[in-house]
Amino acid sequence: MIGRIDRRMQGLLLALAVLIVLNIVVTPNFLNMRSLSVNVSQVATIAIVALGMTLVIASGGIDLSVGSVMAVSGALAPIIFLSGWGQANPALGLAASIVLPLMVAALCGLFNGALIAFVGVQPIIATLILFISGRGIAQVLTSGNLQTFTNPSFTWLGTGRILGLPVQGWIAIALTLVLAWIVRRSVYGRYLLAVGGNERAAVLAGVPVARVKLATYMIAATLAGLAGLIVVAINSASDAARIGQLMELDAIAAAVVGGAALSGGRAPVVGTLLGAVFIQLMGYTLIANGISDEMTLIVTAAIIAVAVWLQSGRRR
Amino acid sequence: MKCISGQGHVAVWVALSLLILFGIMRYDNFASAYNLSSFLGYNSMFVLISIGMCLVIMTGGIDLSVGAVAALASVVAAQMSPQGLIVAVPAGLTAGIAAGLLNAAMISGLRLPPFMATLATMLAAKGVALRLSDNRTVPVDWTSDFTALGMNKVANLLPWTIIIAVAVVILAWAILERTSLGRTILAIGGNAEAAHLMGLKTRRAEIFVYVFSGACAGLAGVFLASGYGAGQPLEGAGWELAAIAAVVVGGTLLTGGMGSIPATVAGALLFGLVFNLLNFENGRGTISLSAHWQSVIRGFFLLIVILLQARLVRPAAKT
Repeated sequence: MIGRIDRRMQGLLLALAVLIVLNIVVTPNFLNMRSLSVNVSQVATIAIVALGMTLVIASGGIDLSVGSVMAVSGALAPIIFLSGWGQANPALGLAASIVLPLMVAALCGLFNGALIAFVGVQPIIATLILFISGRGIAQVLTSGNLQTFTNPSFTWLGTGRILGLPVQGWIAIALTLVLAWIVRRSVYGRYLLAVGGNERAAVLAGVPVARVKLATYMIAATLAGLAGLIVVAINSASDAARIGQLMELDAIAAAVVGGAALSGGRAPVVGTLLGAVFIQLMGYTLIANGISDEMTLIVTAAIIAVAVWLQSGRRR
Repeated sequence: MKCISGQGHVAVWVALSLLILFGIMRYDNFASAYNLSSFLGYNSMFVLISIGMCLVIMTGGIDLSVGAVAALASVVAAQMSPQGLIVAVPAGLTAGIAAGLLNAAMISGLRLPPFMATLATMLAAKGVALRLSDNRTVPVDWTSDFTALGMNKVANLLPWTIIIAVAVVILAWAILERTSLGRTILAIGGNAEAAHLMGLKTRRAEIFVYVFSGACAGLAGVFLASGYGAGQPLEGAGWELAAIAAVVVGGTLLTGGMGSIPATVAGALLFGLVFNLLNFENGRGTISLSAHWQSVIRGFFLLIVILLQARLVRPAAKT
């Protein structure tokens, strides 16, 4: 099992290395701090959402609602710190504008998880509900208006730097390490892989399947909520119609390129981070070398197809 | 054969009837010919892609590419529109069929999971549509007869698009209920391995559903270009999920093996009706709900119907 994961990671690492060397040779200014920061800040939100998606996929599910959950949390944060109460108590307001949206996001995950674990709705359908209405809720909350603001302490989440690298990049790395540890070493991690590997067997073995699923969807939604906050912080503006648009697809693509199998039972958390970086770097390479945006889509499509094909070949 | 759809589709008919009844009683012009034809004209696109999606889902698959493929077909059809209907319609349809063949090749040939294969096709179709159109909407040629398809009405009442959509619905229904291909489609969804071992031509049926779905999306794209005067490379985002919602609301299980074409049509119309009723309600001026409520209400409807289905279908399935 470990050997196999390592081989997959080797392939991905090799591909990444080739891309990086290629970029050093052909892309002007690739190795300066600026382009590194640009890439890191663009990939971090996708990576954070993709980490949660990896856990969901490992449980044998899928979460289409992540983009809408991002919109909800991203819409809530400015509402809270721009409110009269938030402006009267800046410190409390800042804390609330981070904690409350994350809690609401977690509730969205609870909703998804409850439909899946207790009502028995298929994950695609269950999460489709919030995919459709979540963004609508965010737009109703903001009356569809763009909220702009200046709040340096909040925007630090998206524009701050630690040791020269964007804060959100460090957050993504930290979350990856924590989740990798959780998957490998915690009881929850074992249960998660058991549920995704063979749900019936997990039930018979006494795994609390419903609780594991609830927790998984709540983690995924909370991470999506965090990504929503970061996107809003990057832009110093919140546009409910656009935050997290198509994020579910980016996240699924990153997870699958990183080695997750849609059939469940595998949670290659580190691979997901690398998968997200690979897709980002591929797109950056094409655009930085004057190849148009739409070619990037076609290349991404090919990468996904090849990644899934390699995976299905190895399984047999 | 009626039993294949189980009881899951009862909910959608009840919901649709209640909404229509509500509309007729509450709004004066709801049952007018104008509202009927504009409502059905707009929703004929969604009915088409939902029908394609329904067949795919019956085999236990999924087709995420339909929205992007429709956008691609609308661009192709708009670019061919100076040559008239006779060229533009087949061109758009061909684009859809090509995408369907790509899906079929990846799923039936390379055995990729449908979700990922059609996701790749979705991105690729979007890329090609943007490339062809140079990232802009492509106006159709108004001097040719291309716009007649989407704008002219038969007997001054029904747009051609509705009549074609109805024909496709009947075709899909006939294939499903009356041919061995249709029985194979359902058998694959029920148990692919068993169907294959029984000697059914499962691969042929699998290829058929993806090509059919691609063709439906292509036709929807042609309708889009013809009815709204432009090929729109950025349209169609989220159509695939709307279609999946319509299929599910129509009682078709995502695991495949059962489902109903008429109930899928009802499901597609149900979602369209929410928007239509909201417009009427706003028109009355008593309350004012912004357009954003539309998606909230649609999601709510999806939730209600799913919960109803869980109650209706589950106990029957368990015994």
